[in-house]
Amino acid sequence: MEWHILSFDNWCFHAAAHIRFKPDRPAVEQELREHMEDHFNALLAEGKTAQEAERLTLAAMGDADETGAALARVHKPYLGWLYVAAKWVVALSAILLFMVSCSSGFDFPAFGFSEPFPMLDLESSSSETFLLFPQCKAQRDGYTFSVPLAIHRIRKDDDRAPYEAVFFVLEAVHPLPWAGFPEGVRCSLSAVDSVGNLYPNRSLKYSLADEAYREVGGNPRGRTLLRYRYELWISNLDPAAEWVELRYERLGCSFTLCIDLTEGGKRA
Amino acid sequence: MPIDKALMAGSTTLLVLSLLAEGEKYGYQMIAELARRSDNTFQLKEGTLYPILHALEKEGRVKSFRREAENGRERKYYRITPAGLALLQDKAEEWRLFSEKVNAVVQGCTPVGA
Repeated sequence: MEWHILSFDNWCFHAAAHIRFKPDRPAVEQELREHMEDHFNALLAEGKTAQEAERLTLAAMGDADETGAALARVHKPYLGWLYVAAKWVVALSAILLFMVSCSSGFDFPAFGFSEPFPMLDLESSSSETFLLFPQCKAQRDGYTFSVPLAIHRIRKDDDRAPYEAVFFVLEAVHPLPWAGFPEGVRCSLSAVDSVGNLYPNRSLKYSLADEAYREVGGNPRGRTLLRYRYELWISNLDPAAEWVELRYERLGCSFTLCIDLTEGGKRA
Repeated sequence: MPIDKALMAGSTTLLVLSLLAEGEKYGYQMIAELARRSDNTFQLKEGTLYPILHALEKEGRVKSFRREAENGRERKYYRITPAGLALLQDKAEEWRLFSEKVNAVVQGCTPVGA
């Protein structure tokens, strides 16, 4: 019969009752009870009767009030409550911050965006450069896609054939910070221009060396809490094109974004 | 011969840290080991072990964690930290000096009438 449990529980309860920080009490009681059980079982193994083992265990533990008073000096209530309060403040602040960011669209530059296309020399005398700010937007799978900046570049080397390209930033915004980069964007994006030329995705092409190929290529460049950015380009643009439309098609989902090339003044 | 309680109280931290320096242990294991090694000379009231352990944990001298003991039951184990080892070194040095000086005084005195 587990009749000794009552007396052990009683001892532990009395000792732990001295601790003024109540959340600490159950763990202390449990540890003391486990100690008494170990001692009790050791005495039973030595051949003592349960009654004798219980008496010796309790005697070995000493005075419950004395132990409790010593425990209370260690488990100070203000430290305990300070710890609990700090945890709540941190948790509530995080929730509040998250709710504000989701509802207002406010973003945290967790990693920050660097200057786009650092390799492009915008002041180069051998090229004409037009900065474009397309207003296009599209939605897919909870992401809002847009092109906040495009750079229309026309090379005019005397000894080389004219060459045009559009470098653009593709931005995806998702209201949930754990959404991650949208799947398959880099490999599923192609383009078509106003003349009807197709610009397939770079990943679908066999040769990457020949600049006569028209293609869409690029890489992810960074993210903040809610925003994901790619730096992409459309190469070997037809000089007659007035606009170019980005096309995303993957697993039955699609969207399009149009970049107006006349906006920068070239063909206006 | 029973040891004076005050003498025991002054050295329990040193004893506990010494035991934990050999490896992680739970409360009853420490008590049993202490009794065994001292031929039952050191028999501190077992309840008083926990305020010492909890104070050491608060100071970062030991760390506690729950693990299954050899009897299959889960127990709260204690492990000494680098800060605990440093304290043990200080306490051991303090004890060596103290016992050396006490011995020097006690052994140099001849009781009157002896």
